Parts: sequence; structure tokens; C-alpha cells
Amino acid sequence: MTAGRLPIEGHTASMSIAVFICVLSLSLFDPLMIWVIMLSLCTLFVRISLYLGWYQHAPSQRTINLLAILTSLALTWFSFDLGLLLSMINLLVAACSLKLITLSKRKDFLQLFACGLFLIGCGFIYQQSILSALFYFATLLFLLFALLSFFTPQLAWQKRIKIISFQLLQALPIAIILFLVMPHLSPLWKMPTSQTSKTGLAEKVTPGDIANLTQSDELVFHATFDGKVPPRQDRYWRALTLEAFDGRTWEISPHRERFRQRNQRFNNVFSPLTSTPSYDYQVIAEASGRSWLYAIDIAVPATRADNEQIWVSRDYQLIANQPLMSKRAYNVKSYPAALLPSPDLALESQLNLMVPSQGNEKTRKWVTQLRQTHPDNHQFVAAVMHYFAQHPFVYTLSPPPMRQNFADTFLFDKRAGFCSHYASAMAYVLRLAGIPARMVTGYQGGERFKDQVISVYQYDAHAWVEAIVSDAGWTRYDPTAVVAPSRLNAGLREVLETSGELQQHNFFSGIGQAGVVKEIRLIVAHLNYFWGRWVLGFDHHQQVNLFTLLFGQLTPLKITFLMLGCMLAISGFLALYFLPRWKRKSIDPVTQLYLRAVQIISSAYGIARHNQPPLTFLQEAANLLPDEAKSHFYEITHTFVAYHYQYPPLDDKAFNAALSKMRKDLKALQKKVVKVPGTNRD
Amino acid sequence: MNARFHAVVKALGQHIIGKQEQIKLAITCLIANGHLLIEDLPGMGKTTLSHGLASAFGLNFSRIQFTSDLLPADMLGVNIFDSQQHEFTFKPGPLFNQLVLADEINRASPKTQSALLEAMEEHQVSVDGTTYALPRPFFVIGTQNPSYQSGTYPLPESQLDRFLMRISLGYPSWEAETAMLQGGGNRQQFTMPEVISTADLLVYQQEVNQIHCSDNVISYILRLVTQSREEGVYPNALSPRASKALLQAAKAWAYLHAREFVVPEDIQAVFVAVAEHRLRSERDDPREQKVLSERLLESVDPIAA
Repeated sequence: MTAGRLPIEGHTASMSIAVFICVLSLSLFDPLMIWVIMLSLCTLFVRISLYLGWYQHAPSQRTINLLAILTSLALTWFSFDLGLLLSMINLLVAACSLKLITLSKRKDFLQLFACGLFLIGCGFIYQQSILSALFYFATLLFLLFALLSFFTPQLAWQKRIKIISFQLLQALPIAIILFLVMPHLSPLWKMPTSQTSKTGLAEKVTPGDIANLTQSDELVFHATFDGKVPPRQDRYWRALTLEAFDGRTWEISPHRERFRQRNQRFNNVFSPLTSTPSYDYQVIAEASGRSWLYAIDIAVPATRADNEQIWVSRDYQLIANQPLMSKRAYNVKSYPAALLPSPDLALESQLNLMVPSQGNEKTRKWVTQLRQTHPDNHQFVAAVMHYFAQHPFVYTLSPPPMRQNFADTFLFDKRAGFCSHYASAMAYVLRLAGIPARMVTGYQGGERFKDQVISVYQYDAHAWVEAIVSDAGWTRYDPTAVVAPSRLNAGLREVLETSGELQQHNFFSGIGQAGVVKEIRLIVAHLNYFWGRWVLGFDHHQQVNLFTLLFGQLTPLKITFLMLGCMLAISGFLALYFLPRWKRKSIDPVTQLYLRAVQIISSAYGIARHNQPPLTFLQEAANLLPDEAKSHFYEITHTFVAYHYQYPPLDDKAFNAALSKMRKDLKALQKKVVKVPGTNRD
Repeated sequence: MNARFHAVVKALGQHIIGKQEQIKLAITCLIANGHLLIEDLPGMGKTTLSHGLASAFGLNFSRIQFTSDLLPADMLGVNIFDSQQHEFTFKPGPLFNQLVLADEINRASPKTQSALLEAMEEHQVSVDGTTYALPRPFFVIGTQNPSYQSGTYPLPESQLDRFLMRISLGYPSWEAETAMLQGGGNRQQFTMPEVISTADLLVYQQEVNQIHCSDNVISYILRLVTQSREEGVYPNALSPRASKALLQAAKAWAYLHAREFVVPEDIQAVFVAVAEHRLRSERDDPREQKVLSERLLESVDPIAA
């Protein structure tokens, strides 16, 4: 099967690779456009009909070229919306599909094989869980199977599987060593941001507009604590600090953003005042497509590597220098403190007192009255909290829409909402009273997944208020805690159960069930946790940890030896494979001399021996060689034949004579061959 | 080439024009004491070749035309009641000849086929409990039509193995056919002098066994058969019987070329004829298959390096 067209009907290899590409493009459902997936399904259909012989002739090259041009035009059109990365993946899948239709040569098949490997890599951009890893591993096996069926069409499939598994087992130790030892470099280039936005927290919060909060049971992050785990009600995971308020919407203050960028440019690092003790933990965050990270206040990155990757902003946010396009692990130290010192009191007060001058008349009047009776900041805040506790406020995930005069409607009329409603209303009220206040969003609580591990899901999303009551700094207030204390003590589930809203929110359905389903869910969750922590989260830091654990304190000498050891281990494994071939290389001097003569002739005249026996090759070479060289090569060949095949065999004396004669002939041959330009093949 | 064999080849070449290689292979098969299978379309000169061989070596010749209703007894012979002597006497069938042409062997039923193949292997036949030795030398040339033609019972792999070689004559070249039409090779005037006597043939068959085969050549044979067993692209791997056949044929080829030892060229010269029918799966259409034995030859280096 060296050249020429491949058979079409009943050709298992091309059928398998068609199935492979189709399955893979279906698994890339997220990044692919629907028509690209349909194209790939159509090509599978074409391949099936060719395979079963319903149709004998593959579409002509011209048809495919036309299709390719149309496809690339369409892709160019859509690429303006899609961004570079997605268009490239779409292009690759579309190209593979079209290639599948024309698949007829060995070259085509090998190209498709290489593209298939690349597509598997693309798949990992979007999914990294252990299940998808298993899935992609299975597709890889299938791809290798297709490759093997291409080269050994007559082999039974059981035998093929045996060969593949054997070779994979051979490769496994090398892969493990490389995974553990290879330096885990941070990406050399930035992954173009994919535009499929992830659900989760938003940079803008407009509580009045949200009628029905959609939340999911998607995992946000796992936090693995070293030592103590903070109690549930203290687990306020800050993600975003929202300081700009226009009467309806809270968002990140543009001034703040500008300051941050300037500080980052001049590397004006903010190191918050901290005091012991601290909580030490590692967070493994799922991909969010955003750059903010999650941590309990007051958080600082724990390791130097993290310090380089994470920026601590002056509003106590942790910001990664690259968006979380995939799972990411980072280490944090959190110093619990009642107060967050304000880095620039004057500026922050000014920033957090801004309210629109109009609207919410009822609230304004109420605040003015309340302020008169409670001139002290502490008392005023207490009075506001008291107001929430006193009146029949309801915690619900499906509040009525409140588009006009949100604060008025919420505080005096509807009195129903979830965390952002309470946080928004309270921060607004405090600002009206002249107390600098802001909204913080993030997650609250989280389930204890294992002893030291907290897992936080999207439905743990929360919003609370921070205010400068005294000049010392920011104090956290959580009005939701007053309205629905169980939200903090027991979690959202508890709250919804008591209010009878649970049935509407089916994202708890999986957790609530007992029995096998729950067991399986737990096992998968555990597997995913370990996968994330030990495989995906295996970074430079953990690498160093592992080596220290194995070999004690790392010194340059030890590292050198370790590297050398690994190199030796890898070469040892490779040697196991190559040794049988090397063994055969121990050849006698006569053969060596003969092969050298063949080599000289091959490179001079551009003919290869191609496994021809010596006398046949002599005939072929004789036509090309000049007369003298011919006679020398004739002698060499005949000595070789005499030594290897003749009867009776040469005795020692004759052998030595033959050998020295052969050497002389070889030297003479070397001089006599004339190099023919342009036919050199070496 | 040995002068006497050269004369045979030349003499046969006058009747089967332009098929030197196949004639040499057929003679090789004969002196290697093996049986020959010729697979070809009708009218390619299979019968002419057999006739020619028989006359050149002075062998008694018989021809059995195989049909689906041919019975083993038609071939082996029967016991007939002699009314004068009041006893059964054995009347030998056409098989009791030195050169038997089993024409269209794959048209006969499996029962008849296996009776023939048994006789080929054992050099004797048993009829009604009595064993009769076949003449020496005993040489069967089987011909068969390609297995995709209708009305054939393909020979099973185990029986194909009994034939030392399988050759196919193929269409003659333009020049050869021109020469043939202009007056050469007419079956009616087909008379050929005896070139080599039967007694000499038996001596040659003994001498072939004396040809030396060095360890290097044996290792080459072993590498070839091992490759066929390990590479996995061959429907049937080469059996030890095949490697023995290969060695025997190579020795005969070397003898034919007046050499006292085997070189890899000898192996390669006979390899396609010896190995192809053992490697191939008969169920597949031979027109669509590449020559597997050539592929095998290309993949193994005769020089053990």
C-alpha cells in the first residue's frame, strides 16, 4: 500500500477515521457552529454510503473545491463574530470533513490522522474534567486503531487492539516521567479569549431587573485547607467589589479600574496589613473566562509563583493576570479581620458616596428622618439592619420586577428579594446617609466536600455590603443574614425548603436524591476533585514539593542527578524497544565491507539496494559503474558470496586473504567511482 | 546453466514461445521431485507444456480431465472380476503413469481431489485394501481455472500446500504470438525428441539433495517465513512445510544453474512460485490482490545485517 488510490468500499480504516472525526466534532459542540457540525455529519453519511457500496464514486475534486471555497467564505463572514480561536477550530473541523469526502490516498489519511490528534488537543481547551479526559483518551485509542487498520488491513481487530494496548503500555512510563519532570512552563502565548461567556457572577448587578435568578449547580471552585477550616458563616469568598452606582446598577468603578491599571504599570504593589493567625488553602477554580479569583478576606497570594501571577487590588480583590480559560490552582493565605483598612480613606469615601440626585423620594425622606434620630454611624447602621429585621421581608429567588425607583419599591412595597436586593438597597441607604458604602459580590459558605475541602457551587453566589463606619476602614454588613439567617448557617437549600420554593429550582434535584445516583455523583465529584488537584493542578510548586518529599532538600547537585536519572530511565525504556534491533547490528567484517561498498555506490550513482541480494545488485550496478570500478565491485561481491554461501566454506587462511583483498578492492573502488552530480540520495 | 537442461529449455521453448521463466520453473519443480500447479485461463498452453515435459524427459504421460462427476475409481483404477481365472484383478487407472496431467483439477468434487492429493503425497494408492506403488518418478501437473470462475470447487489451503510450485503462464507477448501464428507450435505435429532419459532424471533428483545450503541462506529462509507469520498482512502464514519446499526448490534451481551451493538469488527466483499460493487466501478474488510474495520479498533483506 505504498502509492495509488485506496479502496473505497469496505475500507475499514477510512470508515473508522470518518466516525472518529464526526464523534469528535459532536463533542466540540460548544465551540463549533451548528452548520459545521452538520457538514461533518453529512460527510459521515457520504463515507457510510461509500463504505457500504450504495454509491460507488466519491464526489469529484472540483465539487469539493467549490464546497471548500464556499465554506471558507462563510467562515470568514462568521469569524468577525467568533474571534480567532473559535474560527480556527471551526476551520479545522470543516477542512477535516471535506478532506474525508475526498479521502483516497495514503497522504490524505495521514493528514487526517495528524489533524485528529490536533482536534483532541482542541477539545481539551474546553473540557478538562476527568470524564472528558477519559472520553478523549477513548477517541485517541480509536484514532490509533484507525491508523493501525490502515497499515494492516488483513489483521483481525482483536489483534490490532492487542498491539495498540501493548504499545501504549510501553509508552506509559515515559509519559509519567515526562509529566512529573518536565518543567511546567506558563503558556508561551496567551490563549485567545473564547467568546462563549460562562455563567456565574457578573460585573454588573441590577437587582431590580432580575425577576427570576437563574443559578446552577455548576462547580465554581474547590478550596483545600491546610489546618483549620473557617466556620460556615465566616466563609465570605470575595470575588468583585462594585463601587459605581447609578441608581439601578452596581458595577466596578471606572476610576478604580484606572487606578489599578496605573498601579500595575508602575508595579505599585499593595500589601494589606495582616496579622496572624491565617487560613492557608489552595483554590482550584473552574474555568470562568474572567480574571477575578475567589478568596476569603484579607487574602494574599501564598507563594512567589502565585505572587507573580495574581494582583492584589486596593479593594481587596485578587485578579489573575490571565482570564481563567481552564481550571487553575492558586495558593492563598487569608487573615481574618473585622476591619479592612482603607488604603486611601479620602478617595474611597468620595468614590463610595456617589448617588444619583434624583429618584426614590420615599427612601430619601426616610433616611433623612432616620439620620436625625441616629446621628452616630454605628447606630444608624444598626437601625437599618433593625428595619430589615422588623419588617416582613422575604427571601426569595423569584422576586417581582422592580424597575422604577427600586429602593422605594423594595423597602416599602414589595419587600421580597434575594441577596443582591438587600445589599443594593442597604448600600444605597447608607450612601444617602453619608456613610461610604459599596457592594461586594462573591460566594458565601460552600459545602464541606471532604474534611479539609470546601466546594463552592454557582448557587452559593452571594452579595453583601461594606461600609466605612469609622475611619479605621471597611466593615462587612450582610442584610441577608438578618432576613434569612438560615441562608448563612445552613445554605440556600435550607432557605428554599422553608419557603417552599425548592420545587422550582431543579438544580438541587441531583443532590437531594438518595441511593445509587447520589453515590455515583459523589464518586464522580471525588474523582474530578483528585483529577483537578493532582493532574491539572500539578504545577511548578507541586513539582518542587514532590521532589522535596522524595529527596529531601533540593540542591542543584540533586536536581542535576535527578534530571540525569530521569534521562537514563527514559533512555532505558527506549532501549528496551530498540535493543533487539541493535543486537542484530553485530555483523561480521565481510558484510561490513560489502555494505560499505554498496553505500559508496549508492551515494555516488543514486541507486539503492532495496533488499536485493548481492548478485542481483551487482548486475544493476554494473550498468552504471565505470570499467575499473566494476571489476573491483565484482571482486567484492564475489568474495562476499563465497564467504557467506559457498561450499566448501573458506578456511581461516583463505578468509584472511579474502578479507585483505576485499579491503584493497574497497579502497580502489572508493577512488574509481565518479560522483554523478544531482543523483546523490544521501 | 547446465547444458542438458539448457537443451530441454530450448526444445520446449520452440513450442511455448517466450515463456522461458515458466519452463525453467517447471523443470526445477520436476527435478526437485515436487508437483506443479498451473493456474491459468483456458488456452494458454498448459497442456502443451505438460506434453512437452513428458516427451523431453521420456516419461509415460496420461491426462485426466477432471469433471464434477469424476470418481476416485476412474482415476486410481478398479478390481475387475476375471471370469477365466475366477478372481479379481486390479486394472490400474490413468494415475499409474510417470507424468499425470490433472486437467482443471478444481472442477472435480472434493472427494476426487483429495484422492489425487493423497496419491501425490504418498506415492502409492490403496484400492480395496491393497496398496499399489505408483511409478517413479511420479510427477503431477495440476491445472486449474481461476477460482472466481463458476462451477469450481476451490482447493483448500491444506491441499494447495501439496503442490511445490504454482505458476501461471499468462498471455504471450506480441512477438511470441506472432511467431506462434506464423507456424510454430502446432499440437498435431507435436513431437519432441527425448533429451534427458528417465534414469538420468532420477539421478538428478538425488543430486539436488546434495546441493549445499549455507547457514546464511537458511537464516534468510527463516526470516522470510517469520516475517510472513509476524507482519499480519498475509492471510495464511508460511508453514514449516513451505520453508522445506522453499529450500528444496532453491536447491533445484541452483542445480539447474550448475551451482553447487544456494545463493539468495535462487530463493528469490523460486519464491513467488513456491510461496504465493500458500500465502494467498483463495476466497479473495486474485485479480484484485497484489502479489503478496513480492511484497514479502521486498520487506526482507537477504543480507543479515
